[in-house]
Amino acid sequence: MSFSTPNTSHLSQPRFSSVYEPAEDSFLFLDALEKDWSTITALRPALCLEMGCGSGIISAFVASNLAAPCHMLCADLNPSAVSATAVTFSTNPATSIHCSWDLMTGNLASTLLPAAAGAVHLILFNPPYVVTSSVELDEGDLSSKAWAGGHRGREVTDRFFVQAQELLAPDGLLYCVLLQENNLEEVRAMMGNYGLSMDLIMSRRCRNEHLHVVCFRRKTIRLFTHNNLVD
Amino acid sequence: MLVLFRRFPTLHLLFLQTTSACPYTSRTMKLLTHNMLTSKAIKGVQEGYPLRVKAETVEIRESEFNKDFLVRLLPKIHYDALYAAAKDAGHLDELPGTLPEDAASSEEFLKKLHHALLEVEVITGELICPESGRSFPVQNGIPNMLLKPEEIG
Repeated sequence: MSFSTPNTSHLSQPRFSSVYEPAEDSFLFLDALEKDWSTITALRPALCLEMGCGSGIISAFVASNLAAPCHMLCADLNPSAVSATAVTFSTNPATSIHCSWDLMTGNLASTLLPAAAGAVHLILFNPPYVVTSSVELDEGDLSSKAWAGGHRGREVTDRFFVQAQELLAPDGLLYCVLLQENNLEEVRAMMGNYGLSMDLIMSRRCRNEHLHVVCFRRKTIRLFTHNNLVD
Repeated sequence: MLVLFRRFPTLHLLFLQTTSACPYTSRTMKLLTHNMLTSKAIKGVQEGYPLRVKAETVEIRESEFNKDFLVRLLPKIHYDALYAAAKDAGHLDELPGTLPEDAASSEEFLKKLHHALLEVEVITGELICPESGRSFPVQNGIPNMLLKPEEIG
């Protein structure tokens, strides 16, 4: 099958000036999802969540290419990003052939738990991963919140990972973009404590950034128990 | 439709412009999404679930029924919350008060479930925390679930 990249040309409109425009990290994410597509389709996701949807390009890509029904919830802190995602879905009609989709403005998944605990088959997360000061993260405007990751670029990701491991269905997959400076091995260890394993799907050097796309899934029950015992 | 496009190759531009000029008119929130939302994060709130639905505008939009999809969704659904939301929205439309024992195998029930989850759509209204009364506005089908830092427990 052939994968097409969703059209997001409306992002140039002034009303979307605070929305993160698809860049190298977004395209790496799309390429990684395409590479891992057989794993995603084998999962037969019925519920999908994209946290920090920005332009909506990632969700629209997934929705356009899934061949079975799936309900997608796209969430962002920035109301303009949520609106941009609505336009992205509307202007890429393939998104609605099999999938239904809704939008939400919110602070990460704080209003999804525990209602959606263990419910989400597929979680997509291209987080603000850039290393900044915590002050820059806290005091930045909506457009800087799309990329500013605070201390080691991990402040937002770590907060969401705690929620994501609760949201993830037993057979669920969580795909995430990370930066080399985010310390992948430390993330692997942290998620291991939640009973999740991490696979590296794709890596790429884009200008000054060394980016990775990783996939988390639950380890088997036996390993999970073993891990708890070790801890 | 295709014939029209062939005759007027730029016709799609009209559609595009319409979409980008008023992208919100067609946005709705499905009760499936409502089923995933809670206000438990609010300081002092114990359950915060289900959120009451105060719907000003509701639309019924038919969509294709897919049994496998519904069977896969079924274990993820909080049925009582769905029932309450459908009732609040004024569209119980024969949804049974309790989950039938043969839910996953009854196509008749799954079709009603499909209708409630995916076809009853809130365009404008509010979602209300059952304990604190905090209202989350839904506009153009988008629930605004943002909480201020001081509200979070």
